Parts: sequence; C-alpha cells; structure tokens
Amino acid sequence: MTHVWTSRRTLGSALVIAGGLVGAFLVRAAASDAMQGRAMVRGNVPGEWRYWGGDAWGTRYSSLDQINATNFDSLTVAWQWNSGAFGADEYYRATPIYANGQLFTVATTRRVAMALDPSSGETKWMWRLDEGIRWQKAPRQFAGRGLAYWNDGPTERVIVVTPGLHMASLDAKTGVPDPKFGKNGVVDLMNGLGYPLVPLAVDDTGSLIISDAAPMRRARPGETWNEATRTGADGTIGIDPAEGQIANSSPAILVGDVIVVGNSSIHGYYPIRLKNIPGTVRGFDVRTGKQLWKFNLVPLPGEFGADTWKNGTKPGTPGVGKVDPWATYAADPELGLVYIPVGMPLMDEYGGHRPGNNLFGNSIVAIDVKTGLRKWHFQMVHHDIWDYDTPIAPNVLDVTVDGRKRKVVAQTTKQGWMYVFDRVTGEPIWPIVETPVLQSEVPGEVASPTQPIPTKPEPYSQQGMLASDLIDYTPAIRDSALVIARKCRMGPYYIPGQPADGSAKSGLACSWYNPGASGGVNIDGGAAVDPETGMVYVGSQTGLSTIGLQKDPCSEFNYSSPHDSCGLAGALPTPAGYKPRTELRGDGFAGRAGASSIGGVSIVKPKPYGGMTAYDLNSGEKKWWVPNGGMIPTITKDPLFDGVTLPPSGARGQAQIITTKSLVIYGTGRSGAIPGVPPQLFAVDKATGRQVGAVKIPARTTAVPMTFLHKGKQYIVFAIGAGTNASLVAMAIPHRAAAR
Amino acid sequence: MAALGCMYVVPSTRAWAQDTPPDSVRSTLAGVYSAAQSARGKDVFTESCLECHTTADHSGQSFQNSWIGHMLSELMQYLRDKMPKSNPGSLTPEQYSEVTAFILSLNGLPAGEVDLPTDSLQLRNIRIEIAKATTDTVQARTPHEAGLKQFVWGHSAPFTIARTLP
Repeated sequence: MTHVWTSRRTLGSALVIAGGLVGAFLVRAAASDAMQGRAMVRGNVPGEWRYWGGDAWGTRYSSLDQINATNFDSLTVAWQWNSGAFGADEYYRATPIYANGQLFTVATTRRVAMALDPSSGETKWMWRLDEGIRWQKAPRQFAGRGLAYWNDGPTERVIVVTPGLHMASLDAKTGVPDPKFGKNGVVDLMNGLGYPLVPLAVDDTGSLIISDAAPMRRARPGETWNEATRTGADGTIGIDPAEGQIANSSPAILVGDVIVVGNSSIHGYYPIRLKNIPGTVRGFDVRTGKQLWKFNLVPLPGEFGADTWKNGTKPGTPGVGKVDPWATYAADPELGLVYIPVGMPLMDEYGGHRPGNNLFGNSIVAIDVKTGLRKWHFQMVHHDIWDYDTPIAPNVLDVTVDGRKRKVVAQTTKQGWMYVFDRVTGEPIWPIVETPVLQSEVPGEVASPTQPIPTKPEPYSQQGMLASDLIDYTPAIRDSALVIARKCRMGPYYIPGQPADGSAKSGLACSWYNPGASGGVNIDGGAAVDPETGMVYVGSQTGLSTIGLQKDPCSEFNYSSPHDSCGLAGALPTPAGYKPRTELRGDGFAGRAGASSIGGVSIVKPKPYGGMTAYDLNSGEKKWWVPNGGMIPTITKDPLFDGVTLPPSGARGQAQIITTKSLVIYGTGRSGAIPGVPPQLFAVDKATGRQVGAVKIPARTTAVPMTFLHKGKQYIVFAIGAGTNASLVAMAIPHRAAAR
Repeated sequence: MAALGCMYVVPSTRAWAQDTPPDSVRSTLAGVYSAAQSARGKDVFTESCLECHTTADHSGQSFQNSWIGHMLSELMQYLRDKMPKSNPGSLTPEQYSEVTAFILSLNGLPAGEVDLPTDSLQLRNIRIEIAKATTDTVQARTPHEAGLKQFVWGHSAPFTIARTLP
C-alpha cells in the first residue's frame, strides 16, 4: 500500500476502509449481454440502467421481461451487499446504475463510490474523498441518490458528486480518478460560482444543524487545527460560509460529453440568515472537467427574470438565496436539452423578504447543453410559500395527443399536479390556467394573486381543504369535522400560512396545508413511464397538515415556521428579556401540523389519492389508482362513530416505481405498506393496476429500484436500511424458474 | 398545546395529557425507557421522520429550547397529534412511544429496564430533564479526517493514493 500524506491528520480512516476489505480482485470489464449488437435507446443500452432514472429520459423503464407475472412470486434474494463496512448513512436513498457489466453505487454519509459485481454483489473497487470540515458541515450529509456514467468506446467514467461539493471522474474499471479531469480527477464545484475560496474553520465537532445553524466560518489569519478539540482550520478551503452553505444531494446527468450538475442548499425550514447562495446549473466537459457554462437560477441583475425579484437579485441581497436544483434531472440527448426541476427560494413558508414571482424558483427549465442557454421554462408555483420545491426529475416521453405526435416532458410535483409540456417549445399540452388564489394575512407577505392550475391531468393528491372534503357519515360527524376544519383557513389550494398569534383579520392562526411539504410527489417516489404506451405511473402520498407562522427571536426573518433558534451556534444574539416560548413545544415541523382527526379518524374523506396513480398521457386521463401496498382499516373506539362502518384508507408512504416490458414493479418506501405486514416488492398489471405478484423482501425499499440483465439473468436491485445496516438487495428468479 | 386541545369541542379530543402533574414526579434522568425500545424507535424515526428531521434537530439546544421542564406526556401527545406532518396520528401507539424513547436517547438520557408505556397519561409524572454534562456532548460526532485526500481501493491490489487539493 502506498501512501503520500501531506496532511497532518492520521491515516485512520483509510486504513479502516482498506482493512475492512479483504482480498484483491482482478478487475476485468465483463462484456455486457445487453451490449451485443444493440443500439442505444434514450441514451441507454437496452437491458442496462445507465442513468438514475434508467435512461436519459428518466423513464425508469426496462424492456426486459424475464421477470414477469408468471414468475414474479418466485423471486429470491440473489445477494445482499451491506455498506456498513464503509460507514454509516441516514437512510439509504441511492438507486444504482448498471453499465457494461458493472454495477455502480454510492454509499455512506461520505458518499463513497463503489463498483460491485452484478452477479455476486462483491465489491470490486471503492473511492472516497476526505473533505475535512467541508464534509463535517455539509448541508446534505448522506449517500446521495446515485452517480452518472459515460463512455467513449473503451474509455468509461463514473461521475460522482460529493456532499462537500466536489465532482470526481473515476475510471469505471478501476475506480482510479481520471488524471486529465480537473485536478487529480477532482473538480471543486465551489469554484466557478463567482465567489472567492477562503480557508475554512469550525468551532465545534458537530454537523450543521438543520438549515444554517452551527455553520463553518472563514478561518482567521494563521489559524491552525487543534487536534485536542478538533476545531480550528484544517486546511480546507471553500466559499466563505458567511455567504451561505451549498451542497449536493443528487447525481449529475450526462448529455453527450457534457456533465450537467447543480447544487442543493440548506434546508429552508427555519434558516437564521436572510441570504444564501443562489442555485446554479453548470455544464462541464467530461474529458477535462472544464466548466463550459453556468446558468443562474436566480437571474443576476439584467438577466431574464431578474425583474421577478422586486428587491433585486444582487448576490447578498436580503431574501435572495436557494432556488436550488437539488433533485435529479432528465434530458433528451437528440434535442440536446436537459430538463431541470428547480427548488424554491429561501425560507419555506414566508416570502416577505423576497417580493415578486422569484424566477426560476419552482420552475422546470429546459437548457441547451451546448450553450447553457435557456430554451424555455415554466414556473409552476409563483412566489412559493409552501415549500413546493420541484422535487424530482421530470419524465420524457412521446405520445399522440388529438391525433398529433407530441414530444412531451411531464413534471410531477409536491403540489399534487403533473404539468405536461411540449419538450421542444415548453408549450403546455393541455391548458394551464392562471387562477386567482387566496391572499396572505401575514404582515409583509404579498402572495401571488394567481397560480397556474393544470386543466389536465387531474391531481394525484388531495388539494386544499373544503367543507365538501370532510367526513360526513352522520350529521354529528360532519359537524365535529367542521369544527376542527374551521380552526384553520380553508380553501381549494395554495392557502397561505397564517400568523400563529391570531393577529390576522380573520382571526385564524393557521391554514390547512394539503398537500404538505412532503408532497404529493417527493424525491423518494416520483413517476415511471411506459414509453410503448404513453402511460405514466405516479407514486405519491396525500396528507394534511397546517401552517402557522411566528417570529423566531434569534433569526433574521420576520416570520418563519415556529422555531426558536436562540442559543444555537450562528443564531442572532438572544434578545433582552427573552423567555422560551412554551407554546412552541416541539416547534419546527410540528408547528406545521395540527390535530386533524377525531378519535384517530381523519376529518378528510378517504379518496383515491396518494399510492400509485396511472395516467394515459395520450389523453391526459387518469386510468386507475391503487394504494401503496394495500388499504388500512379505519378503527376507532370513539363513540361518535358508533354504528358507522368506516371505509379503509390507503397506506402511507411513497411508492417507488419502475416499469418493465409487462409489469409495473414497486416497493412501498420507508413508511409505506400496511403496518405489521412484512415488507414486500409488488408487481401490478400495467393496464389495470391489478396486483399480479408480491414477494417478501428483507426490509422496505428506501429508494427507487432498478433492473438489468447480466450474464443472461435479470436482476432487480434496490436499497434498504439506514445507519450501518444499509444494503443493496438483488432479486432474481432462481435458475430453474428463469428457464422459459 | 393544552389550550389548543381544549378548544376542540369534539368527543375524541377530551383525553389530553397535560393536566396538572401528579405529586410524585420522576425525571427522564432516571431511566424511563428501555434500550430495546429506543432501538425500535430509531427504525421508526428512519422510516417516518428522517425525511424532514435530522437527529441534530432533536438534540442539544434545539431540543432544550422546546422541551426542558415539560412533562414527557406532552412530548408524546404532541408527536401523536402532529406527526408525521403529512399524516398526523398515523403511527401505532407503540411506534409513538418508541420514537419518544429514541428522542430521549438522542439527548443522552439513560435507558432503564422497562419500556415507556404507550398511554401518554402514564407519562404525566415524568419531567423532561437533561444533565448539563450530557447536553454539551450530544452534538458530537465521530471525529473526521481532515484534508482533501482521495482513497481508492481495488484494481489489482488494494492501494491508496492521497494528496491535498488543490
């Protein structure tokens, strides 16, 4: 083993990693079965899974059919690979990719990149970057969702973006960084954003507390590392944390020879500082790591869209920040366009510091990968005050609408709507109508007077809260539900948050929030496509919570979700006379939710929302709905419901869906399925939603599965678990059953 | 929260737990949950909470600002009424008590021999208290390695390359 150490730190972690892996492997790229004489389709070799979303279009579709309705129930675990030897993770949210005979994944909070033998799950190589305090204080300290693959003949590269915002190009056969890429195979993605890089330091050994509490800081001149306290400057450089914190949580996407990569930001739940670094999308040359272009998702002064920020967009302007493209992406390589789902501006539920529509927040933006110029965009939520980030890659597909062939892109969202566009021009396939919406009663907040509402397809999650949505099995039940419902502001959708102190003219101290900040669709779920039929299968959830806004006494914001930052590192000084607000108990997210049930029965009628919804995008019609793993009986001892037969409701969680030649296959996600029922992987009929298979799995899926053909055998691989018990599980048909 | 609960004039909202605490008050420092229950609670946290909440957000100062001095019944009832935010009340009673135990463990509070009960009324005599020494360390994580070093393992034999960038 050769070491070249220039840091003063120990070899500890490297030795642990190397020591934990016994034996050496001769790495030889196996000829992929799927490579044999087959052309690329949507940027993917049929039978492989070269993108996070299966292919560049993000279809999550495979034409494989070895696993089908006749044998699905005979699937067994072929292997299980545990990442615990390499470190811990939050929950394991990665979807691997398969290319040219190898399986690639990321794992652990340090986002270690791995190549695995697809037949056995054996580790072939691993790569890790030690990012020092840039990792310690990274806002998104988890394994990420995957990585990207590129090849030019025999030259193969795996692209990984780390929590500390470095991008590495690795030899797919060996894991060795490409010496021609960046500096020693790595590009520092904090470079090239227009901010100088400065030495960094920490004052504590912990991570960034949610949002921007307990951050790094710029190192003082001459400051060094204190090994005893593990504080100080460790030699790491980056953007001055006073400007904000940015990170990465999703993989880059390859479009031709261009790596398209964005950033994520801090959580916007309850930030302390009024500014953060605006989001960007950038293109890099895959061969050299040279930055080719940068697209500003908060337009700089003079750029298109800057006038949608009434207080201006000069970096550092109070209220300007985030608008981060934190989710996964899709592309049409033939058109040379990449489709970017964009997150919301700074502070989830209060926008009084950023008046205007706030482009390109909450938009889908089509960017020309050669020039980095905007081809078209559509903002789905103006001036977001609901945390309605665009949370996942859109789905690209071709359909026939009213007899006309259309190239479309469909964007699923937290707000429960799917927005469908001509992907060449951005023209909505079905009208999306600017519709008047409720206005805010929070001082300083100016909500958008209208929001764009799709006329088709119909939503997949409950929208808002109207009296007609309430349970009404008996007059007494309806009256009781109405008493609760009227405690908060009601409306059809886009109901602004209320001041929690009851100072609003209406007297209401909260508003109903439906879909809530988790969606709808969110990053754990999303949609899969059948490109043969134009069907789209959406995994989503439906739920109900409330918004009430208060002043955090130690934050720069006038309002936020109920929270008390006082005493946290990086918070404003505790004001004179401060007393903890006893009414905030639980604060944070808890302040968003309100009691919305009677005796354990939701006040909202059960409806065919959440679970999995199938749409035909040739017509825009909803075709069927199934719950996420089954229906849950509604049981209560409350005498209000005596004599009433209560309907069941769909199970919670986000279905994690892929499609194959003949099946829709899904896992239920971490919180899905029926409590007490063993975790399962399901298969349903694509045309009807009828369940045609179910097989027990070691634990609930924690990320969207993937499938591939390797040496004649089809595998389905998915992530499970958390901490040091995170795994990839490969399922396959035993040899006898596979022979058809 | 007590006021909120009392405002609901419907039959099911009558069973609130934050009445005047009984005379005999115990402390969360006395080992009021079991390690096994906390371990189960960690799984529940992963399944239903981690999407929005980090453990750092529920330990140390963040936790203390909201909960020190309150009765444990209030914390559990709060979770039952408000969480998960997308579908409050949807966990089982056992899961709510398990995740309550996990939150206590996050804050360095000691485990005891028995589980927390699932009935929040039985938690009315447990006050949330945290030892000062503990609160100072709960945010700490395993020390990290510093410097930008790349580690590669694999190829024909294990090897490591390391360097500082840029």
